[in-house]
Amino acid sequence: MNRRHLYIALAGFCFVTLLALAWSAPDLPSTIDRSQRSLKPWEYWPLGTDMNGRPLIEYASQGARVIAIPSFLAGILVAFFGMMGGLLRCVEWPTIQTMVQFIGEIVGALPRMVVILVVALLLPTEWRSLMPLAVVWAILCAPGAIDEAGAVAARLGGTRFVEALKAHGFGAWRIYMHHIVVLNLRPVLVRQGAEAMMTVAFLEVALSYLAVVEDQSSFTHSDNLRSWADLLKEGYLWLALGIDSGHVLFVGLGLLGLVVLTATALGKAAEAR
Amino acid sequence: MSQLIELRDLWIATHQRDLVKGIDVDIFPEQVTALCGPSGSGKSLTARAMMSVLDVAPGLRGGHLRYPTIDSKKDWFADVVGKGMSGQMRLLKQTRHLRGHFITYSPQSASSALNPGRTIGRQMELAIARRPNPPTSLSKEIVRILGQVGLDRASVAALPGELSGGMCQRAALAIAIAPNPDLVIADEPETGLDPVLRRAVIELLVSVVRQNGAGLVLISHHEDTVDRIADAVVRLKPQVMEAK
Repeated sequence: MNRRHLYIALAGFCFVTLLALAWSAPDLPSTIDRSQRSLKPWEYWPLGTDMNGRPLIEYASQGARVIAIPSFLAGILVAFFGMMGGLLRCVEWPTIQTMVQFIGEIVGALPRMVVILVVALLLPTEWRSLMPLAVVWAILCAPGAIDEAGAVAARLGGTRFVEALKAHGFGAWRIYMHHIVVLNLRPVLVRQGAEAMMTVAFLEVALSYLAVVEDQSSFTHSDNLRSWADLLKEGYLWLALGIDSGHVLFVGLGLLGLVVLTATALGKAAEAR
Repeated sequence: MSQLIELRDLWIATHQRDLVKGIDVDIFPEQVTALCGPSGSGKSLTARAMMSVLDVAPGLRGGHLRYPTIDSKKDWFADVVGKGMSGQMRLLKQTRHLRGHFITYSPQSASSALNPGRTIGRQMELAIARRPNPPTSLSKEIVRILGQVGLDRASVAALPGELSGGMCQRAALAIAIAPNPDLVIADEPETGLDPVLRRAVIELLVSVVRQNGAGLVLISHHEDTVDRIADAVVRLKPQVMEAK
């Protein structure tokens, strides 16, 4: 097993853990049971309880459910945009290239966080979900992904590289999808996608934290679900008040660490060798 | 001796001007044919036409292309002349089986010939797989061919980015000869090399191709190189822009 296989295994394990958490999430939080309040993980397996006696695993799983699909979709979208940018650099379609560059410059100039906040505020209550924000984030990330993948394709030789492969007798599908995308753009596409995935997870936590501290409804999920931001807020609060419940903050940070680890391992696993 | 390629009256144009017109080329086995001319005279385009790789609009306006050792009667351009990009795409598909096996191509810069995401060994494997009768020991064959072009065993596991410019040129040459082609087209293989290495690479190319009994089309604008090694020379002139 070489280092690449190790990263693939690590990324797979982290990702499956996130999906398993999301899949096992209950639709509603458990009832309050103050007799079980503030239990440590070794007292209440696996993650302990909050100050109302609810298991922290519910926070972890419901947070994962909020994040999993939208962040994965954002990653796929960014990788797709990057792939299109890279492929465009290898074909001679000057009109489309100019249009993409023009749109990319406009989208790239937008302040991302402001756009996300505006979209979050404008979304009707019944549409409240992370999905539209994840899609908007992916679109905002697209110009960067297109530029980077385009630069890699240009370093390959662009149309000259394609011509050389045609001269070797390869068909169009094999040239574009295998030789260009899989063999050469893969590291940059997977890294861009993984970064977008991680950023969307952080975005959810940041927006939920904003709502939690302002005591408002979340922008990203319905009120019957808990977010990882609840863990961070509660953990920080307890720590600030000197209550011995550091494990809550630890669980919250650990979940964010899991997302970072997934993204990093995915990026490393996709490197050429 | 039967020709490998018989190209007659080649005429390729864009909407604005003729790119090449009235070109005749005959390529024979075990001979070096040089396509010579200044920049913009259509050397690479003529070579691409020989391989049936054309992507100029409207493109092929006239000409006949035969591969007599494959099919002495068939004019591959017959259904393509005047048909624009769609005809050229059709030709590309029809002749795909010939490229990488009957004809191989070594492009102007080795960086375009080599896939940076794959080791030299893997690229050699793919090239050797194009032979009708693959060798029994693939790894031995790869080492043998690399040895022929002066590269050692260590290059098998190297990515192109880990090799020097001269080594990349040699690797590109190894990949071009690996399928045991009948014809190798080398597009300015000396580009980007210093004069000493340039001479060494060209001489290596000629000797390896001759050893394998293949024909060689050498595209070059170095008259001294052409005079030294070519058995036949096709000189191209830049086409003038037509006034409207």
